[in-house]
Amino acid sequence: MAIAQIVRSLPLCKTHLRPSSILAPLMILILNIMDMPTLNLIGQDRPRLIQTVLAKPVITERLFEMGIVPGEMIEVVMKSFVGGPVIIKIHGTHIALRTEEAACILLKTF
Amino acid sequence: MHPAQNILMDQCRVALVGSPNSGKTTLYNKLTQSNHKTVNYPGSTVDYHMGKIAKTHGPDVTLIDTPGIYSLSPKSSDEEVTLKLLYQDPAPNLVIATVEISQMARQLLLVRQLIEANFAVILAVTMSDQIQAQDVSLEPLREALGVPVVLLSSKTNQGVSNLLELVLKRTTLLPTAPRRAATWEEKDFETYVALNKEIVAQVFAKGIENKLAKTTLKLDRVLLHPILGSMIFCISMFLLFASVFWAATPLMDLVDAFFGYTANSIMSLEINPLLRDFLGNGIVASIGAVMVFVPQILILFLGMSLLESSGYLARACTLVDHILSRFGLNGRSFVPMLSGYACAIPAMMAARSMPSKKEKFLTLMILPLMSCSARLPVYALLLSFLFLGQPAYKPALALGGIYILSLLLGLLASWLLSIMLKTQHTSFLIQELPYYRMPQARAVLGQALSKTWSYVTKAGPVIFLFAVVFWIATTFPNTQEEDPVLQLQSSYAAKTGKIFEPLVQPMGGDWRTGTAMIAAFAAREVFVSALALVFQIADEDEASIQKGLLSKMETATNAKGEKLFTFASVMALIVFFMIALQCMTTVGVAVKEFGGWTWPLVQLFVYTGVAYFLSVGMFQLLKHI
Repeated sequence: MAIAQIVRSLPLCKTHLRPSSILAPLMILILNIMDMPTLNLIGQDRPRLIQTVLAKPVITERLFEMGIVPGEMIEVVMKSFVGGPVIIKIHGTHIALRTEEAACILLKTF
Repeated sequence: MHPAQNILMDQCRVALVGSPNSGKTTLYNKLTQSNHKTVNYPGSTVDYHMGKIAKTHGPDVTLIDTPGIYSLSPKSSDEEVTLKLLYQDPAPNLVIATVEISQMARQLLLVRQLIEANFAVILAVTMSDQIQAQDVSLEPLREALGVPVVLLSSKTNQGVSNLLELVLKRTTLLPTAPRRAATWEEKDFETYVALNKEIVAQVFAKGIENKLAKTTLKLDRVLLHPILGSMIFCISMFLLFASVFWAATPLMDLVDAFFGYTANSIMSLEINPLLRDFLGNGIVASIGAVMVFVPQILILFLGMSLLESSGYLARACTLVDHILSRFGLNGRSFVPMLSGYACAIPAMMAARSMPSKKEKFLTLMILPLMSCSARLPVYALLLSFLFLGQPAYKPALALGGIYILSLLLGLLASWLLSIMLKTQHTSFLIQELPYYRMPQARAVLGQALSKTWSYVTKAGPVIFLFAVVFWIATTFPNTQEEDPVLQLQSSYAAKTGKIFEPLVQPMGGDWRTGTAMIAAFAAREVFVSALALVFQIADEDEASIQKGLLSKMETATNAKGEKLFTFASVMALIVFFMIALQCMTTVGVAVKEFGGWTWPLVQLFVYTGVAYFLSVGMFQLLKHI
């Protein structure tokens, strides 16, 4: 199950991860194995803590500006069809993210 | 009062800066007592607006409403507008930073950057009507940020006079030279968000209940549902366009009949025949051509501002993002495209809020293909000719087909262009979804009226001027000629039209259609009034311009005695009007938005060329049927 999820998120990493961090896909792989999923893979069950954001600088910056920073609680409100946007809730606001952006947000499990 | 003062640069300038959807425009309207649009869609202000602060005493203060920004490092061209304004010389004397009360944890980040960049900041906490004022303490905010803080509720006017006093007290301040804000590291964002949350916790020490957030959550579960949400989206779009046609038709008939009646009354006046013809056929017919589609444009904008101010439009962008991204566009292209169905001019300006350069480019490229309301009088005329004497639902269905086809054409063009342009770009959709709010009738109406008015004032004069020039071209030089047909045939317009006749003949027209088509390059709807002129319909004793024109069209023959308007030639005209870029005002706006002449000219020549060849093909294909 975990492997299938990783395979699914790998092409997403390529599009949005910072080109400099070659290790990033590997990191996502490890995090997934350790059950630290990315935002696009979790369900609408409960709020989770953001571990880190691994995206191209411009996207990371926009996410940060909107308050999506490590250490904050984030929750999935609604998921559309496969590949469509994910609606998340953070600081009481709903924000729509593409699956690609959601794949850049790594979460902690607790 | 003193117009000279307006140009003085040394007067006090106050900029309203804040995150998207944080209540800047509402506050701007309160302070200037103007009736500017306010909507519930992030990125709705794409240009800045200036106005004088309304007050009883004190010096003149200019207030500037800016497009929303998330930080001092801009990502789209509307954000660049704000940054340019903040860092221009002279800088604004004072910055009113707006923060929505329920969004403070996020939006205070920008305020911190503004303070760090050395701007003189007054913090305005807006939309406080969501909560009870006595439950909030602003002291922690003042202490943490070291700037004056005002609690505002624009609905009840609470705090507005307070803010005004604060602003006037500070107008004596010299413009502070802003520093470039230090680019924040990732750690800085983390630290400041944590700090903001601490402040927010202190501000709401008594605890609050956010009702808007609760209803928003419930509504989003339905309206953004993969299946249910898509269905609701389709239904609401259908209702929007259906109301544009059905509700506007009686109004359009009314406007049309009014101008037809006026033209006829002028023609029966006992004055100089040349002057009479100028007033009736030139002036009134051209004004009529501008005014007849105003109901349509108004109703589409009304529907849009209703969707915008309720907060649904941001959701609609999310819903269509997945489909649009397949064609190289973005969910954010939806708003410009929808506006494009009213008019390409405000639509091109709305594209400024798109962060990706390539997606913005593609959106701008396809906007002239969206079936704008100026095409409507043309379609209305041609379709009612095609379906003369048949039930009304048939032309309505055909019109719906044309609208959908124009969307598909736009998507096709965007897809082809995105394949041709292999540039690397970062595409993302990080769309803030504002709380659902009950739309305010006054604001909705005000926005729709101001957009419609800006259309009338921007496109109107150009259309009017061309129509007058066109009248002169059809009347001169042979003004003494008694027979109007002979007069027209020897006119400048006829001579020009005859030069172009070989071009128009393959698509089933003669010099008269050609002349009207050339005139349509001022603006498409001029086609109708130009046809009306070349067929001299104001002389007819008909109730409306359109009816007179239709009966003339039925009997018109070309030089060989064949019928001029057949199924094939009318279809060819429809195809031409669907694709050709015939609006010079759009080209002018496109030059500004593309930042150069290259792409607007490509649009002009490629779209018109493709339109021509397709319509010739259409005529040749259909003429034997």
